[in-house]
Amino acid sequence: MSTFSVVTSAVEDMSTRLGVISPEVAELHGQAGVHSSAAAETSLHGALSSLMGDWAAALPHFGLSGERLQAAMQGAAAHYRAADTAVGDAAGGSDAAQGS
Amino acid sequence: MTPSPTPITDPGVTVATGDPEAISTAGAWHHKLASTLESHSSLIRSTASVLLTGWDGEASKQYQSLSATMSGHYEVTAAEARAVGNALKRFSAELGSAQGQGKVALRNAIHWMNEVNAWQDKLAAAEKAKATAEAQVKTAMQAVVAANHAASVPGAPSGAVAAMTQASNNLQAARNALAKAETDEATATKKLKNAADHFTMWQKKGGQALEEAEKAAGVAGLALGAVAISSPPVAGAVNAFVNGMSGSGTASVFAGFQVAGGGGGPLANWQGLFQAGAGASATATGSASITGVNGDLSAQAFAGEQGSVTGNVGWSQLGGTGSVSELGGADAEGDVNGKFGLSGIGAQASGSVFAGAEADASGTANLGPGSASGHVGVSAGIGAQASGSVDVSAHKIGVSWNVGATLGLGLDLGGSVSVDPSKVVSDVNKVMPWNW
Repeated sequence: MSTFSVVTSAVEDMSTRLGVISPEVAELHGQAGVHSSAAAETSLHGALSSLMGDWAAALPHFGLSGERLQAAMQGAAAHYRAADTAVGDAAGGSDAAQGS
Repeated sequence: MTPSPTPITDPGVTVATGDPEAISTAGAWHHKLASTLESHSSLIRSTASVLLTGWDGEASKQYQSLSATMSGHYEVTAAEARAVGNALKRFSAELGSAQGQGKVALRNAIHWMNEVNAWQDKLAAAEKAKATAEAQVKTAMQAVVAANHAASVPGAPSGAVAAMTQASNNLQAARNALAKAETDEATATKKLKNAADHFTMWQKKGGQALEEAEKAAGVAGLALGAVAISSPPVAGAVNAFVNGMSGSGTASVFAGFQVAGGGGGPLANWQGLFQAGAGASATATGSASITGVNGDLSAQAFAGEQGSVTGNVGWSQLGGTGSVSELGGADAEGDVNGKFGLSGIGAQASGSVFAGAEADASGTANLGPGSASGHVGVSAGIGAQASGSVDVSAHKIGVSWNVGATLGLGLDLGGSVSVDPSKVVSDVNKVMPWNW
């Protein structure tokens, strides 16, 4: 059994708040390439270059995880909104039946 | 005399290369990344926390679990980024310092290299002058000896004495030149040694600065090498969460309050789930995905209270245990206060107790037995924002609620309901076999 007593709009607000993750990570991801050669002409160059490559590969997943968490929340809201509609329909039908 | 040395052209100091500013900027980027990931972690955690109090069920558990996992992963990654940022900032500062020291060393090394070259030249010149002077002294001495011999011969010409005097003067001049050359040689030797000492010192300082830069790079390299970056559990975990909302299932949604608990005393106690407010039970078949929800829903709406109550009745003479199940059959009095008496109690061992009640703003509603879904015009309050209080005791389960807005029908609900568990038990008693 599941119960969901939070306003759907609040859920959507939560979802909207989660929406900052992806663009913020994307912005950082866009800047990552610049720093791969920051340690050029030092013995750290290889390590930093490799690390920046790792960030460049991993950050999109962080953005994606934020997107998917947000979408999952939106899915939950939609899921319960659909239930809401169904209940409303059922209630309307019941009222109509009782009235008849 | 040694041949003149080749001038030194290499100061022997290498300034550490690299761009401390660029490295510092990379460090700042890592700090920004760390701060961003920390804020995301906090956001995910706080979002889940907000939902924690209003959302029960499997999907909720999965969401909480997923949020905790993701939040933790973001935090760990932020810590890694922070560590890299610190390492790069430190390396940047140390490299900058080493480069500064290296440049000073190089500048001084060049200066003293030039001094060495200059004093080498002067020494060579002094040595050459000395050799020349020595030869001149030797020649002048021979001239003096010859002049003396010529002047001592009986009947020597009158100019012989003057020639002897001139030869003596020439010898003195040659000796003076030799002395000066020797002084110049000594001075040049001393100055050359001093210049060479300084040159060596600055070369050493330059080497130490370069070594410091290399050491700093090594420390930073260790820090960077220790970093382990892994992608967040985006695919599996989020999919698990979404899948948790898929398939067939039964969900009960309501606006109001729910309490799960138990109470009572030696004679009567109860245990169960109690919900009051407006809501619906819905059976859903379908799937939820990140793009939407598909499937069918069938729903049963209710307004009032529902729950399952298992009552244990410990009569001293008879004893017994029973569970009640009821759907429908309840009285609701008043819009702000309701008394729910149970009727039509079944004898099944398990089930749900449902005291249907109207909960609209107008006031009284009487719902007859079996009319569970009757008069539920205000029942579609899914997702309503609710606040209120719960009062649970052995003789009363009281719930007051204030439903700000229902999304289904847009009605405002307010009021309270209460149920007397002892009355429930009493009703149980009526239908128990010992009363049959």
